[in-house]
Amino acid sequence: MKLLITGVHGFVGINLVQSFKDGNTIYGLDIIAPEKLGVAKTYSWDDLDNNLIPEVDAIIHLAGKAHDTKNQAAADVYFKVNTDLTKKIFDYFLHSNAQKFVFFSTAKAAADKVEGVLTEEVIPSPVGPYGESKIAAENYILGHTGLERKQIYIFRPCMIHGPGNKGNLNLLYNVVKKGIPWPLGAFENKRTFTSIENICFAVNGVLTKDVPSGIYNMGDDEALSTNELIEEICKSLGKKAHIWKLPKGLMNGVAKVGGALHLPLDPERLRKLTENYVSSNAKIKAALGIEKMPVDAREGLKVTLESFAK
Amino acid sequence: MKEFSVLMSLYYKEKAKYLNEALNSVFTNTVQPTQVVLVLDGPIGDELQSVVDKYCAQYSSLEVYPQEKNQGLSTALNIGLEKCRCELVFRMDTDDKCYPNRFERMLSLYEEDPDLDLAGAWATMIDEEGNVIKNMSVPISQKEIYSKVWTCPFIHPTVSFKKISLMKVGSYNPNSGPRQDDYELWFRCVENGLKCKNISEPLLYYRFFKDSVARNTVKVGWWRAKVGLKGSWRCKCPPIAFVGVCYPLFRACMPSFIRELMYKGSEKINPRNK
Repeated sequence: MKLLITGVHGFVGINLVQSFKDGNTIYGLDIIAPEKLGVAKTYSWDDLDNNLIPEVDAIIHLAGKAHDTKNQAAADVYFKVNTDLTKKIFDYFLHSNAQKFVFFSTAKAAADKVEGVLTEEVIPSPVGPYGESKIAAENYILGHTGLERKQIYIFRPCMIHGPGNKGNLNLLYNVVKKGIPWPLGAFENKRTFTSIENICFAVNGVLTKDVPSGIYNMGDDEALSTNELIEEICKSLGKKAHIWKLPKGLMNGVAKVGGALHLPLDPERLRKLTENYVSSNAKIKAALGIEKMPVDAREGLKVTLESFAK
Repeated sequence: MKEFSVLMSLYYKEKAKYLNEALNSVFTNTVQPTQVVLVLDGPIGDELQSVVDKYCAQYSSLEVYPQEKNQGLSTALNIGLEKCRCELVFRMDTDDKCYPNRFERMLSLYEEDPDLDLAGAWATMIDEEGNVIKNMSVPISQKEIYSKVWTCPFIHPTVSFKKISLMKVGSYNPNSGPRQDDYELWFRCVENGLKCKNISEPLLYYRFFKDSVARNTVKVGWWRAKVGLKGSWRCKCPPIAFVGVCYPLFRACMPSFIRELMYKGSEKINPRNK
């Protein structure tokens, strides 16, 4: 199979190349073009405008601006990258002979907060430019469904992790590594994570099987609490977990003071660390005809955490 | 060996002699760049053009992107950054000179630490004729860079960075204010937690002009304070930072003989000097 992967040199792209490089020809489309094993050639977005990209069987659109809570100023950049590039590559797909299109959206495009379990049927209510720019891209794609001989998939993953990825997991890991006790033990929350192996498995599934077009949540089978996550980190470090169950009211107060004094723990971060975000992956599993995802949530985390230790 | 792009911006006020020396130092380095992106920030005149043409004829890795009008350093660098194909980008100015081993030495840092996002070096100050004045130092460790972000902890033409990392923090900001292109960027790099360091060896000859002092006008001082105060607040700098960032404005408001004295005085405490 011939594949075109945008954002091929990003974290998900590198992993897809690793899992698809045998038996497939992979072309990249990215803002950088380093030589990489498994990528036949990386084209630029200018090359797309100039029609220099070879015909492929499927397009996987990963390129995007990732969620970044600190950089609120650049709202327009989210739309330029996440919405406009999606329109551009999707228009290219419509006029090409490629049959499948996989767009990596985000769970945050569907909901900022989740009560109960997030499914694909939810009426999207994103908050902030990241989710809004992704839902705008989804809506553009959904305006063109029902095309003959073309299948279109929108994936909505929860926080993706895997060996070598940075992000929130890394931050929490370093806090625990320093031996700082976890003071938020009283908050019992559940969150869905997405192991990169499961992403690769699902992409492979929709590319090789006859799966109906549509929106699919992506996530591991089990949701974990932040306390469980810390226990996993401690296990990986060979340390004893220090989880303090301080009263919630006290910690809320501490966070408020922290917010006023610019300390690391502020109300926004407290909310992020203790919120529930459970997403159901039942639809993709049913579509692929499987009972369980290949990688268990804890197993996947273990692999990721071990890579941090290096 | 790792591939890398070199990013430069040229405008009409540059001297042909300096440009020639700058490009020569890039192309005679111990490791050759994969790509040299030179943005012409508006019309540059025949003399500079002939230098550019000379190097174009000789080195196919030199790519020139002429712009119709002068748009300022930040905009020109953002245009050039888009054209950089390599993961790793080195900045370079058209009036400075690289040490012959600059690229090789810096590449080894990225090999040691593949997660490094941004790295700079010390520099050797030279005058208009190329005579060495003295070495210039900046903080080395990430910890020190973060705590001294308000002192402008990188020497702009010495830095190199991962293209994606710089784009992640929003690239150069054309509205950062006169001569604040780099200063404003460092705050955003620190705020976004980029992994960075400086190497404690001079790897660039950094040219200083007699009128360098006069260029620090009240307007520049005002912007310096504005960018510095905002950045220091967002990066949660210690109280001294808020005083320190206002110093150039205060100094610019003084009569010239007091200003001279103040420059001499501050040389003793400025972490950028050695």
